[in-house]
Amino acid sequence: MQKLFVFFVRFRVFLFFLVLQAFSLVFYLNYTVYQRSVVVEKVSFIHGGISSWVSSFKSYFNLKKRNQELLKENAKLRGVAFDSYYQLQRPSFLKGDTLYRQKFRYIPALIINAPINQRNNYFTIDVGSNQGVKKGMGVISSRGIVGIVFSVSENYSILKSILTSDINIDVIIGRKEIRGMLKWDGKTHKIGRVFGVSTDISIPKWSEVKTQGSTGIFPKGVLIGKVLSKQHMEDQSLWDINVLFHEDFTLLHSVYIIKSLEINEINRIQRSIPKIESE
Amino acid sequence: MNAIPRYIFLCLIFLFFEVFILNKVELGMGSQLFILPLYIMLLPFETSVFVLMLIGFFLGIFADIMLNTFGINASSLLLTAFLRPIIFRIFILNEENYVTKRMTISNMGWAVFNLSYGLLLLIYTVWFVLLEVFRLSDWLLILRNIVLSFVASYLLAQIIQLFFRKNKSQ
Repeated sequence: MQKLFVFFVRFRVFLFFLVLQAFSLVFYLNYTVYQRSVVVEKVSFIHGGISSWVSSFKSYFNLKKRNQELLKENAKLRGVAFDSYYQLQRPSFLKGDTLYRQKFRYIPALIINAPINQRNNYFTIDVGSNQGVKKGMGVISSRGIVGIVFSVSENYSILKSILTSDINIDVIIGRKEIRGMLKWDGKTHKIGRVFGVSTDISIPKWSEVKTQGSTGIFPKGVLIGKVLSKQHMEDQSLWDINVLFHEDFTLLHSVYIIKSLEINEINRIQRSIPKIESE
Repeated sequence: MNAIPRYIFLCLIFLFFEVFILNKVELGMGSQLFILPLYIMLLPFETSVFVLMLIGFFLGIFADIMLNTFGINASSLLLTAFLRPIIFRIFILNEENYVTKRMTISNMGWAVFNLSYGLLLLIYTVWFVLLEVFRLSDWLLILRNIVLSFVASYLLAQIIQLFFRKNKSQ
């Protein structure tokens, strides 16, 4: 017992260091589990408060550019609104037509904090559970895909952006809708990589890369970027495709959280698929 | 000005600078600017290693909260704080001269400060980038990020030191 006591006294500095280090590392390594979300939920309130003050100050310098962006987006939305179409043949369709069912709703939000220099970049936005945001919802901007809601507090949320190491987005490439998987290698915020496309398939440069919409989180066809270059993967007959992101994450100010109205139904039906048991 | 309020004020300045300014600076090629290890370096020589570790840990936690980095800053700053006395023991020969002094370039001398801080910053950067990338197979990416972040942060520290030198001459 005395030896143990002597040991603790002798190595007290190192043991103190180990305890604190273990706490930091457990916190870091388990940040995807529920406990981390709870902590983040609490701290995002503090962070959100301070950051929104700084963000509101900064936003004065970008008002002109933001107004231009919003005007462009409004013009685009007005162009696709039902009111913009002339009825050629009566009756064609109504807003409440049973033939057209709404699949997605959008919650607008402002970006409070969006780092891009780290290996895993998490963004903070100014809407939370009070505005109907839930964990796992997709997030897009007027220029393309942004990420997925990672954690939600009452008035703030944290997004796992596509600039993180373990994000996988199902994508389609070009008019032929070739399927692949988008990842980010951490080298530059301007370029992502698509894997899983066979080298038998020709991929022209500047083909558009869009969301596949298979999981129901994102609508099909949201622009992600364009094919910049491609090369063979080592020892595999697959392309390693570099995609130039359409969104400039350094200028990201406003986003839309996608509320999928059919996600529960999709999940329920996908859960019913029988799993093949290995013999 | 009393030492403790001065260091609390300095801590807030460094934290604000790291979170709201340096974190927004885009140098490219995966490089980042680190200023928080400099705060650990500047603390008085006689600061106990326990206090150093607690300051490093909580400063890191605050930075993690602000930057959504979930413990990576806390872990790296804690390591820096733990190793500071050991590194000082290597480079500082006459410890009596430094008691009660701030560990600035003007108090320590160019060579001792740069060697001590260079090694501390290198350890911080290596640990930070290793944790961040967390895949040794990406060793080229790790190496590039370490070298570029270290050089950029080291140069930044030199610029910041000019302010401390100016203060002293006044």
